[in-house]
Amino acid sequence: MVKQLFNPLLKSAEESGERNQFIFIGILVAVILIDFTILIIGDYSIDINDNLDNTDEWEITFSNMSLTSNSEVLISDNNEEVVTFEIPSNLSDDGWMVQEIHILITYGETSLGDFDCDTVSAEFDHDEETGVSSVSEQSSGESSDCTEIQMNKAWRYYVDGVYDNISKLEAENILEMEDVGIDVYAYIRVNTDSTIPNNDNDENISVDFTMTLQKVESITRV
Amino acid sequence: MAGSGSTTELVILSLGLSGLIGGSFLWFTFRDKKTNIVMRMNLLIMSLLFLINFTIFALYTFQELPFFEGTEEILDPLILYLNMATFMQFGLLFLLFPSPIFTERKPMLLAMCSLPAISISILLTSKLFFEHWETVGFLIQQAIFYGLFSLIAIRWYILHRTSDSAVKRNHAIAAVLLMFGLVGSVLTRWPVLFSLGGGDLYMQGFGGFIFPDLSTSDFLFLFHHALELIPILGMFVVLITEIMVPREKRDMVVLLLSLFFFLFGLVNVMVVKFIDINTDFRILWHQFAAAGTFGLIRPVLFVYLAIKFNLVDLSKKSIRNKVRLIAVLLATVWASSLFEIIQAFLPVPQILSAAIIGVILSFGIGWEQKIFDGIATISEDDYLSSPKEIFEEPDLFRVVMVTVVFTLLLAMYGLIQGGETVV
Repeated sequence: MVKQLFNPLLKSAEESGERNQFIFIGILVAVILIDFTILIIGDYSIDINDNLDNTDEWEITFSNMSLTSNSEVLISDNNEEVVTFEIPSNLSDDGWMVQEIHILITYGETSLGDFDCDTVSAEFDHDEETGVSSVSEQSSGESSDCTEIQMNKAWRYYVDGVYDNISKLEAENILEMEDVGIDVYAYIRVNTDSTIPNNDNDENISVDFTMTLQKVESITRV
Repeated sequence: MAGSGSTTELVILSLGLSGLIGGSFLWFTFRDKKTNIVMRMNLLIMSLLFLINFTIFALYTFQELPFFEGTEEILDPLILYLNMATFMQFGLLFLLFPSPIFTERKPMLLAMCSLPAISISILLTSKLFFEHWETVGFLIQQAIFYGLFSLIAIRWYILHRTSDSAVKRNHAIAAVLLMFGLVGSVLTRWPVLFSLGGGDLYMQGFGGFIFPDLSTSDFLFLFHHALELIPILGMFVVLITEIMVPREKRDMVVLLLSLFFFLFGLVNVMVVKFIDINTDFRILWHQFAAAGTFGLIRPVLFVYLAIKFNLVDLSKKSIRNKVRLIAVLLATVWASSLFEIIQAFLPVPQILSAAIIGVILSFGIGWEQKIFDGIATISEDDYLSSPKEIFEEPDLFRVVMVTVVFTLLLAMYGLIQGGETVV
């Protein structure tokens, strides 16, 4: 008796069995073709590359926003005060990041009849989340002649344009800056100088914080 | 809602479930010498599948432990390669169950040996041409062993579902139950048909794989999608057939299962479409409902297959009693896993869920004899046919050792290679 290679149960003896199999294969091929059409060229086609990490050219636009705060502090001679600016963390939900921290310290000589401005020294720092390096930094300053003190720290500023050879994921995360949700601390110290002995024991210092934030507004494949 | 602790508990329960089934099936394979050798080979391959799953779940558990923090670079590729090893078991089961596709020993052994050869060939070819060759190799193998091999089960079903012979109908039912058990994770995403679920539903299956090579990614995506449509379409064939089949030939288990996958797919696509990907609910849905649900269905189905189609000789009282005991243990662990999933979404206190499990089991133990006898009928109409002289007794041990060696080889290669982190 000749043995069959394949299991005889898998070989249909009836015409209907094979016909049904062919119908299934035919429907399968049709469904695959329809699906490919929808995936590749349909109106609601999935841009496969959007979900996969392929490099391409992307036109990216950005939005900017400024957060400001002004504080007045009275600092007595040989003392230091800390003025804090808290950047709300919920801004990260919309993709905002800190592009620049700018602190302006201004003061005048408020003691009556005194012609010698006090010496004000200041420095600042902040929490670090991303650890990305800044492109410019002036983290301290001093003034003895009532001129303003400016301190700042800036990360790379992004302009609208076409960025090539990056994936969509990289385009979405292009900003290399500091995260929002950090606290910025300005340490201000006053040493009073006076032309009249015991006339000047403190000084009013105005601290202006300006935080520039940036976020990715739109990404379009070129 | 539940957090990562519940995920760990579910993984541990799945670990226990896999270990219990794998160990039990392995024991029955070598203990029960009366059953047909082909049926025992099927049982053996099922046990090896669960034992590899047991290892994978153990690695997932290790990842949650503080001691193994930062070991993703070691454990993730190891898990990837172990998953590749399970593809071998898929292929073997499709070739052997419900009945071997070859009637002679040599072609059958050749077909079985070709599976690891296919796997290695795909990996080597991927390494030659693609940068992320492990991911590419994994996905091609997944597409072939999930999709292409499902054609065998679908053929069994189409040929014999409406047959007048009860034995032939058994083959059809057993084949689709196997398909549901093996590739159920694909069936839960059936709305990828006609892109109903959008990009997010596709990515649910990919699990975050990336394809940096532009020229290959679209091709690979389409290839993978085309082959995963095979079991999805098969599910619809089953659903429609089970509804239309005459009442005396209807199988409620297959009907309910196909309905379950259909409805689950609908719920899944609604969750994917309407709930933001970054919300806690969505994350939990993916972890518990998608992964956890599927992880519960396969063990139950395989135990049902083993009992219903006499992969274990239940005529022997000692074995029958042991099978009943294991079935009760499995039911306990399974119910705990189910409640773990429910608790992830509903604020059910643990003590209440434990009490409910206790009540269910106390009622169940009374009916367990009746339920078990209802499934485990020793009627010749429930047998599956199998050609004789395909396998010999020593083949069982050989399959175990070859599987162990092959799995260890893959695992070692995964450890040495390092590989990319798989999300």
